Amino acid sequence: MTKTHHFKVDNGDMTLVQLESGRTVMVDINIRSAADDDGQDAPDVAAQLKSLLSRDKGGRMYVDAFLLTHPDEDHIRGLENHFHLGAPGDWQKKDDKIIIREMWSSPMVFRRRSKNHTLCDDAAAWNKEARRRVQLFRDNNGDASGDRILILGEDEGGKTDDLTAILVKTGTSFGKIDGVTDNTFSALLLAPFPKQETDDDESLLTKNNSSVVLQLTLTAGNDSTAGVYLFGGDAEVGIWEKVWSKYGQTPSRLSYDVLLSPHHCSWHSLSWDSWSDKGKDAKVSQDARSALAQANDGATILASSKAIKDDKNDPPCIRAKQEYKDILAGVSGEFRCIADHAGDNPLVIEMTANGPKIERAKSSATVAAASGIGSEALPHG
Amino acid sequence: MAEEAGDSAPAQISTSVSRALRQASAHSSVINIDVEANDSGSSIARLTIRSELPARWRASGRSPFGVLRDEEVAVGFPKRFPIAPPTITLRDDFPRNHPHIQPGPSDAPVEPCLVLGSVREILQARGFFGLMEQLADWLDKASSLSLNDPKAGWEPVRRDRIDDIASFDASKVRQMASGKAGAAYCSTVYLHYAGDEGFYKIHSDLVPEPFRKGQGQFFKRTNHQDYDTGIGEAVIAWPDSRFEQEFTCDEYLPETVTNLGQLLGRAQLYGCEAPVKSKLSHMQQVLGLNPAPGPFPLLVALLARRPYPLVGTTSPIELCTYMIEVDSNTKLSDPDTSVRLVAHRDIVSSELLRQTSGLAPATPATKWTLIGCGSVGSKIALHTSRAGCAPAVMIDRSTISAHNFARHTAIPNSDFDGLFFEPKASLVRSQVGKLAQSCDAYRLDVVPALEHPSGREVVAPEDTALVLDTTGSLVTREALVHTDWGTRPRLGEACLMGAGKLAYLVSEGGDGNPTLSDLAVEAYRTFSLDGSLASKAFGAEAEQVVIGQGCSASTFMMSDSQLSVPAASMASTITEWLEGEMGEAGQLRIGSVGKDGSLAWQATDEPPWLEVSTPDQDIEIRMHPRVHEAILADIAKYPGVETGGVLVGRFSAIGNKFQIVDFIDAPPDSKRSPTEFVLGTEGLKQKVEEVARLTGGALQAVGTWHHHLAETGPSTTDQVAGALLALRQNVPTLLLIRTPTSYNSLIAEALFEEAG
Repeated sequence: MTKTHHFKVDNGDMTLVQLESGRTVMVDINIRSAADDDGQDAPDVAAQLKSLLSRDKGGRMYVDAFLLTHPDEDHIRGLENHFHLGAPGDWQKKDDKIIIREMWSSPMVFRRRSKNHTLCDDAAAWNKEARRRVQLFRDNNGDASGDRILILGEDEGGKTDDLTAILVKTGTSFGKIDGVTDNTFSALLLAPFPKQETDDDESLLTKNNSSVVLQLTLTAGNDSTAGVYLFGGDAEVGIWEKVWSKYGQTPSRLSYDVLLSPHHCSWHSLSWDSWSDKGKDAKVSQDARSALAQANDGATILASSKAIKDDKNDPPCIRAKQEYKDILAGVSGEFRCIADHAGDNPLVIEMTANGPKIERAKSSATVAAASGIGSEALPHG
Repeated sequence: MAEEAGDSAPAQISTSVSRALRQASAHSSVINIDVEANDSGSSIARLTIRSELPARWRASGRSPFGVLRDEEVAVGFPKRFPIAPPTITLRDDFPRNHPHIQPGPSDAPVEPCLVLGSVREILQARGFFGLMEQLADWLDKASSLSLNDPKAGWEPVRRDRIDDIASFDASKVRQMASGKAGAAYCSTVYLHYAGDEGFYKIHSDLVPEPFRKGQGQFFKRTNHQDYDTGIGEAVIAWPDSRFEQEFTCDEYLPETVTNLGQLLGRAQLYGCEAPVKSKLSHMQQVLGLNPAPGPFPLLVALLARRPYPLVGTTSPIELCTYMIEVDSNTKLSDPDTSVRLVAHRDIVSSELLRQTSGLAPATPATKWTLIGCGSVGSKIALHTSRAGCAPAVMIDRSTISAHNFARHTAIPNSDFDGLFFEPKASLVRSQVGKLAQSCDAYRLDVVPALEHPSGREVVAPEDTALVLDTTGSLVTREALVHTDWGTRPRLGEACLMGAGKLAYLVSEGGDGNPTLSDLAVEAYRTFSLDGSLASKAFGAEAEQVVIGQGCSASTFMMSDSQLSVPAASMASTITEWLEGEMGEAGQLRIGSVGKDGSLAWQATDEPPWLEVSTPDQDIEIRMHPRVHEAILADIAKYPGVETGGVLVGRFSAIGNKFQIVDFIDAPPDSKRSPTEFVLGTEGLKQKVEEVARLTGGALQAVGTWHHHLAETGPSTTDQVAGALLALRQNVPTLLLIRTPTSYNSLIAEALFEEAG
């Protein structure tokens, strides 16, 4: 059964795609631990994720592919703690980490750290693992589950020129996963753009703007377009303008049934103006909006963020939410903030014969019977 | 989320209702609540429940199956809420074509069937929030017409009214759905109560028979004071059931049939229209030539095959029963002929009992024999019969006495029952018969019966899969095992031991190895290894009762409830055996019964025993494989010399055989040389006595074994040793010899000699 699971990770992204074929694609993770500042009361998304994954014959949990849209902490947090990095043969039962059969990575992994390009530990670990896999490929030795990698987009300076077999060029589609053609999905890579197309603007070289933008089309039953998803990482307004200029002539390449609103419902994906500074005077970039407005009938736009309040915060931004709701009004669609979904479990979308359907949040009677004690300090006189 | 409904409710709303609505407001699917109280003390809340719709249905705000994204649901709280449950109704025009809607007239508000069971109970168990969860789930499933759930079972066609009832064996009628689509006539009997609409109670034994010329004359109605009786007819029709041509109807429709045209429409939907039409047309023709003297009910049962089993059954065949009241004016070809709705009532049948007990359908049932219809046997007979697995033969040699009623399944019919010498087997047969299963009952002592082919035929008729002995008689056990049957069924034994403190259940291995007798010997060894089992099996109380009651009808002092626990547990395993789960190994199950009625089983699979006697010997020697392995291990330990030890087991007088189950290592002062093994004495006497003591004498040191380095038989030395031993014990003695490749043996025995 084709489903997407959108975990409740506040301002961060974490999605598990279950294909009709049974294969799984992880899109970003933000697995906080109790040691993190805001991890204390966070849902145990690691346990939730693991409950959804299969184990191979060797008893190892795995995802078939892991797409990291860009190497920011709120998209890769928890990698080292929960995913096996290094040769698959080094996997240890006692750690019980998740095998990544194939990495789907942006070419950012080839960039050196610099003042403008700092990496958290998990992102550095991702880079190291990606380089290990690329090296295996270069050594003609990387054609096994747990060693495979796809590089999504070309990098500067010809660093990816020798990677043809594992390189997906921007503007092209692919339907292979872990070395096997899988007819139950197709992925169209819309961004990142090669450096020569962006080198006129330094701001487009940041991590956010290196985000992978991917249109993922999912099969359910006989319907090969049962659900069309648009993932955009944290891509900002300049990228969306560029996306529109490049694909505006063929808007179906930007269409979606489900959009994961970029950068946790940030205003910066829709406007050059600052929401906190300009407030109501902040103007929408029509091109960026157009790139994000190709919603199919009954589409859903998700905000993977904290609850959206009517304040000056960004992200998530109330003004961005309004803009998305406006986009959806024309197609009878719905805007959902994942934080508003009842309970601790992920928001789940199932591909049905009639398009994606949000699964009803099963409510446990314990919710009603839950004690108020323990949620805050109770002074007793 | 819900608005503040409960908190801002008017004062006259009860606290209970207010609490319930506060819980409702916490439910994520409840988006609005309005509430008003009535003067009578009741109140009504209107809840808006939001369902998730797939993308393509969002534009219209409703599912194609009539469910709105936001449904208003009326919750009526009676004055006595929460001890009286609320009523939950949907809007009047909510489509009634969904399953799981409470039956009711078409103009009444639609009431969803939210729980399998009582709303009142779920309210108590899960609170009002739990009820809201059921409601949200119901609407969610209804929105995609998926209230029929393969896991829960297919919901039968809902009928909002019932005119008549018919009783017949559902499992029997379902079996008719085989082969090509077809229909059959069956005769019925009926009771008819006059009145505005009249009311029929119809019964059929479901014996298919042709509808012959002149059949109409049988449909004569006899008038009694309050009702009429008579003979009627039934037409039973089924869809194609051949492999790969099977006709399945996966469309759920509530009942709408009122006339013959609509009935035939349903028959078409279920894939059996042509056979029904053909039978009705034929019947019309026959009745046209010889009209029935009075009106009679024509039952029409359509068998609809569903994609998965119906709720609460293991069968996908749904029974849709209708009735046409046929009189001289009825035209069985006229679509306007009126049709009544008949509710089916099942009758007791072995299949129904099997189904309710969670067993798969079985035809034919496994044939088995129960020997012993005492308290344990009668209980096992009833438990298995209630699961549709009654014994085919029951044998007991005794009649019921007054004290038997303390534990036997039979209930006295009168104060004088004890005087009528009713055989126990007949009493149990009559109970089993009431559970719609037949069996033969014999008052018989099986021990002499087994000596003759005719007696063995009674005990185990052809195709008998299991003969279960519950007599608790050591003689019966030995006789069953050691009778020369030719081919025989598998034997099992179930009884209580040690004054009811131990339950004992065994089955032989495939090909009768290990035998019941071997397993008993193994059980004695098991008891001896566990102090608590040994004290229960061979303790003073067990001994005392055996002595007090005699050895064949040992009656323990224990209550029916104490006895029923192990009996029920054993019946459960026996049922599994009968369902084909016996396996090739023998099974030994020893249950320890606690004072509080608790029961702890230890179960082992028992390997086949070895036959180590030579063909020329009268006395057989059977050996547990552990002894064989121990002998080989000891020989390997002492290469190049003769070694040996002591054999533990028993001698079966009825079987005329040794059963060796264990061994005692040679004492340390034994001497081993290439030509001789001398069994020492140091500590041996104590060990030999301990074996007998721990098993109440059931096991003994019955002989010795020793090793010959060459393929030779007993030596002169062995014969002297045998003679010596024989003089010292009162049963035969065994000197077993292990040669490099096989066993030899010498059996010595001193028989009684008259003095002088």
